[in-house]
Amino acid sequence: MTTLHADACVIGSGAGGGPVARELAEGGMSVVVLEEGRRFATEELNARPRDMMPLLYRDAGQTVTEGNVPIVLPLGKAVGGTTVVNSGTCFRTPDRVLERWVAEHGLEQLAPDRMRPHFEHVERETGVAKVPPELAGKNAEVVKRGADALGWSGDYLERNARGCVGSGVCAFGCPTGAKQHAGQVWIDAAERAGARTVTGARARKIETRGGRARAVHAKLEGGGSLEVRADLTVVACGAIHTPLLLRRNRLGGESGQLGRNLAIHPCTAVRAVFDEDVGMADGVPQSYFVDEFASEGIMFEGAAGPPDYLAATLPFSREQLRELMLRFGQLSQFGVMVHDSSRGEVTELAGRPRIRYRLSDQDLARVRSGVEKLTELYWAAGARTVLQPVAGVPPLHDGDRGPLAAGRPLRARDFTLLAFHPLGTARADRDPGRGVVDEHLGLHGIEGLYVSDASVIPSALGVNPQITIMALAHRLGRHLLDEAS
Amino acid sequence: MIVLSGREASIFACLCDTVVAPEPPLPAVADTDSVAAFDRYLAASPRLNRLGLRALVHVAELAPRALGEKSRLRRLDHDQRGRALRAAEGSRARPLVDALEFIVRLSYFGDDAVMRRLGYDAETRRP
Repeated sequence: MTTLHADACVIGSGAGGGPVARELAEGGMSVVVLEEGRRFATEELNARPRDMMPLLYRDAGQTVTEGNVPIVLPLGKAVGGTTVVNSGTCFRTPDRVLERWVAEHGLEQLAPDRMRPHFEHVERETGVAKVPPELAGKNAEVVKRGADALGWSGDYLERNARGCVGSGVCAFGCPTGAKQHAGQVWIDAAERAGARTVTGARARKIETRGGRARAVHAKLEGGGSLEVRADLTVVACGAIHTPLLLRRNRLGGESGQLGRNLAIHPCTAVRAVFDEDVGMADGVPQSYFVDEFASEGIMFEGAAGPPDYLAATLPFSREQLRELMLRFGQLSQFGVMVHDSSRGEVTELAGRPRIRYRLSDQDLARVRSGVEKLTELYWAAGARTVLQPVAGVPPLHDGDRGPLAAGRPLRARDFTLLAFHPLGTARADRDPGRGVVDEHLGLHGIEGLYVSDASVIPSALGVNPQITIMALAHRLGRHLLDEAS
Repeated sequence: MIVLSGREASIFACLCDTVVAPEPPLPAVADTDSVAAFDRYLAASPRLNRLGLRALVHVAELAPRALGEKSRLRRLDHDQRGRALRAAEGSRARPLVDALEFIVRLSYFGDDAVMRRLGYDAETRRP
């Protein structure tokens, strides 16, 4: 066994671990980052979803929830975490959500005016900027046309990218290095400031003594083990794996909330065929959003990509599949994302995560409504055929609103659903009887142990979470430096 | 092959041909790397999933008999395989059929020659 000594050990190198590691390293602390995945050079990212999925995604993307409908929940596993494979979309936490955290969870430190400098910092460091129309792609253009025709509110998205050329494969690793993922922005900078990243390291044990975290023990891929002795430990394994690591070490369970309160923002996609060329693989895949129905918990965001990415989730075979794919150039795809009120739970079974999530009737109604509205948008945009992600619903033609609009009863499992934003499983709350971590993200009842990832977020956000996660992480880093000084 | 046996590779190729049923301008399954891609996907899968997917491949080979066809998948002709697939898609095993079809579609349509036929050249996306 190898033993390292550091001021801080950060477990995970994604949106939660990266900013903390950099802040602490640049603040003069010695930092060791443990990352289960490996580092990928830009040259290895080959713009082929089929090839990249087994490399960049945990378990080749085969993370699925159990419940009344199976929901695929892809997670990244690499230096940079899931930010290596996200769409790069950046939203600040909505003020109404932060105000709710203050009111319901006693998190006064997270009030909008207090979070603002952290949002500004992470946006500046990750190069957040609005997608210019010329990079947005025709897929966004046809949707914008439909939204404009209906008078629906929308805009081009803000993204963390510098020098983007619209390669169109954000979710499978940016082949040009334009996407400013956590590995590039935070971990690289942390290493320049002296931090050390150990890849292929899976943390197993958090050693505590005298009410304080003292060390982290990890198994190394390829054999051997590593011990990092540190006064500060930051767990940043994500909303699925952080609660499992804590529970295995009998930490964070006092409130009964560990692993619970899982929100995921369930999504689906509607496709449409146009007479004109759309070329959905060209341009930024997620470049535009429609927030007309955000107050109802429904957002529309782009979901474009290469042929294999589209084909994999098309519910067709043989002639129908073939004919549709031969029209790939005229296909558009856009996503429906729901601000869920459903809540799930993460536990462990035979050493593997077990994710239980039941889509509530309310959220099912939101998904259904989103699909109906996006169908209406595509007709307004001039589509010829609309494909709804619902079992038993055939392709719709020429303005037909189909059986959904006619009120056909549907079950959750009639929809094809995915989700990309697991949140809330080690939620922050000032009250140790209601939260796993306090308002400074320190584990209630243990000194020197913090959580910095999506698991601390106490509610669904309704928007993509990476800026929220990074801002909270930056805030934590500053807090730890202030405490140390 | 890393994971697949020769028999499993042959069954998967037949499955691809059944689900996609490619015709020109789309290349035949044998002219793509679909099977090798599935093999890599399996190698990256968690152990239980890997076992389950390999078992599913064997089930797919034997299922047509249970669905009213006279023989196993690789011995059926094009139309008979299509009929068996439709029956499977309409059965209670639909979720398993969906999972297999997802992987088949990903494997076939991720082949470079197939993607180029559809207007996508991955190499032009790289600096």
